[in-house]
Parts: sequence; C-alpha cells; structure tokens
Amino acid sequence: MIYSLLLAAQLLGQSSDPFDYGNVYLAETRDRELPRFHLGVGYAFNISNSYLNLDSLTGTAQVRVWKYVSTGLFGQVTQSELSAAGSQLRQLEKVDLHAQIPTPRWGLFSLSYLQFMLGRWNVLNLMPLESELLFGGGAGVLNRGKDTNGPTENKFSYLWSVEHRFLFCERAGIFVSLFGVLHSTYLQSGIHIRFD
Amino acid sequence: MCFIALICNPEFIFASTNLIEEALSLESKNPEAAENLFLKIERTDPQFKIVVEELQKIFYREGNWPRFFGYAQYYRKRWPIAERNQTQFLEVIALLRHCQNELVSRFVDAYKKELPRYADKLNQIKSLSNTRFKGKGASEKSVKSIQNHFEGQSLWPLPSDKIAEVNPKNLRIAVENQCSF
Repeated sequence: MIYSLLLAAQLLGQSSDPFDYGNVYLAETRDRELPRFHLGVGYAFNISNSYLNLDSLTGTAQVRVWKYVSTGLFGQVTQSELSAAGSQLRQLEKVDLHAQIPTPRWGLFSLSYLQFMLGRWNVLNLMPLESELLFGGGAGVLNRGKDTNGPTENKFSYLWSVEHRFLFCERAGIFVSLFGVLHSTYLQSGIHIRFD
Repeated sequence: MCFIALICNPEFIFASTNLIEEALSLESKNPEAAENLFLKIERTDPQFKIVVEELQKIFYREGNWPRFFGYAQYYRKRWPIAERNQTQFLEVIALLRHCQNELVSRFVDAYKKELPRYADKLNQIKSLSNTRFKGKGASEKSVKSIQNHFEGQSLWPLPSDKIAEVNPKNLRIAVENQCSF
C-alpha cells in the first residue's frame, strides 16, 4: 500500500520537460507550513454512546489562513442503530418505561486547525514520512432525531478535534483523529490530500 | 531589483562583490575555500548568477556530480538562455561523461537552434558521444541514499519543477553513469 502510494507520488511528480533528468533530491529538513488547501474523507465511529452504534462518513475542506492555522468546513453524515444496551432499553417499553435516545443524523460545522507539531523523517533515506499533529475547534449545526424514530431537530453544537496526519508521499496520506460534538465523541480515520 | 537594493543598502552589493572577488581569487589555489565563500552569498543577491556559474566549474572539476547537476539544472531553469553564458555547456559535457547520449543529443539540437554561433562546438560534443576514449567516463560519485543517511544527511525527493524554487546548495541530482568502460 505504502509503496503503491510512493510510486503514484513519483509518477505524479514526474515532469514533462524533455530536459529534466536524474533523480532530484533536496538535502535538508525544512520548515513546512500547512497546505494552501486540504481535503479529507473518513469514516468515524462513536466511542461514547452506550445505546447507539453510530457510523459516520465525514468530509473536511481546509484553507490555510496563516502558516500554521487553517480554517474550513467539516461535515458528517451518520447512520445509527441500537446497541445491545439500547435494545435492552427498548425492551423496557413492554413495561411502559419509555426512554428517549437522541440520534444524530448529520452535522455541518466550521472547523479551524492549529498545527501543533510536525515531524519529518526519511526512513533510511528511502521512505519519506511526515507526521502532523493538529488541534482544532469549531461550531455548527447538528441535526438529530429526538428519539431513534422521532422527529428531527437542529441543535447548535460545538466541535473539537485532535488530528494526526501522516503523509506517505508528497501530497497524500492517512489521518487518525478524535473528535467530539454535542453528547458524542468519535474516533475517525481516513485519507487526505494536500494542495500546496 | 538591483537598483532598489543599491539605493536601500549599497553595502549589501559591495559586500557580496568583495566576497565574490575573494572567492574568484581563491578558486584556482583553494577551491574548497572558494566554494565556502560562494555558498555564503544568498540566492536573492543580484550577483548570484556569477556564484552559480563559478560553483558549477568547481563541482565539475571536483567531479562532485550530484551537486554539479543540481547547480546546472538550477542555472538552466532560473535564467533564460539569453542571460546564460558558455558555462551552460558544462552540463552537456558532464552528461556526455555519463554517456547519457540521448540527452546529449537532445541538448545539442536545442542549443544549436537557439545559439547557432556555437554549432561547431556542439557538433563536436555530439560526435564525442558516439566515441569511446580513455577518460571519457566520469569518476563515480553519486547519491547513495543509505550512505547519506549514516552521514546524518537527509534527502527528500523533489519534483523537477521545484528546482528553481529551492536553494541550489541543497540540491543533489543523481544521474546514472551509463558508460560501460
């Protein structure tokens, strides 16, 4: 997988100038800013809700506003089903005990990131690896059902995120993040592309 | 730009001129010292073109091919052909010494169109590319990734279109020596 990404990056990086030749290297480590534009898509699952299994498809687009700060949008579409605990809670309806389980459907948030830490390694000078740690926050709208099958409502929600990005080639890589919205925390992983 | 720099800070120009003069005087006696002086001049300096030309000569003489090709490609990409001097032909000769005949032929054909007054010299270079002779093949000094790693140097792959945007002192270009003798 990693080698396929590296190969793809090399092919993308090849120039069409007929007078280019040789393998070009830069012999240094240098400060690297956040990308001018950044896109990511991922899958997230909930780690804080006992009554629901929540699987989300997420997407983010970021634009650099300063060297180490970017801002943009974060979107989330969630599919939900009752967990074992949730199903047992529903069983209590037989004895006329009703519990409402708020169920998130989708959310759209503003999200700003601060690049906190950056590491670049070239493993044995053969496999470049770059890693970034970012802290982010924002706010937006969370659409959720008042109950699993109930009517939906739009609620104002905060968003926080701690994201770790890895770049295996010049422009693309994977990320892992922990993010939270109103009453829910998710673990997310996905792929991202940067445009400098 | 040169004019603005002169108005704002005339010492800036004179300081780099002194450095260049000192380096030029050292170039034949002590190329290493000259190289260190040249490397002190920033690439925003109006006289940086002279630095790039002289460093190409030094690295060519030393047979330090990764650095030579770095400066040669930077020179070609940063300045248009009308602003370059005959130092640009060193790149073709170095490629000839690596038996990169197809590239040599491509360069010669392009230069003949742009600089017809050098057609004879360029034809000689082209004919040498088809000839085997002692001393043609360049000495081996190439980019060795793992060796560089153990020497504490980090090498990052760089797309060719970014060559003109970086400091050429950090460029290393590995060119395969295809001479089989």
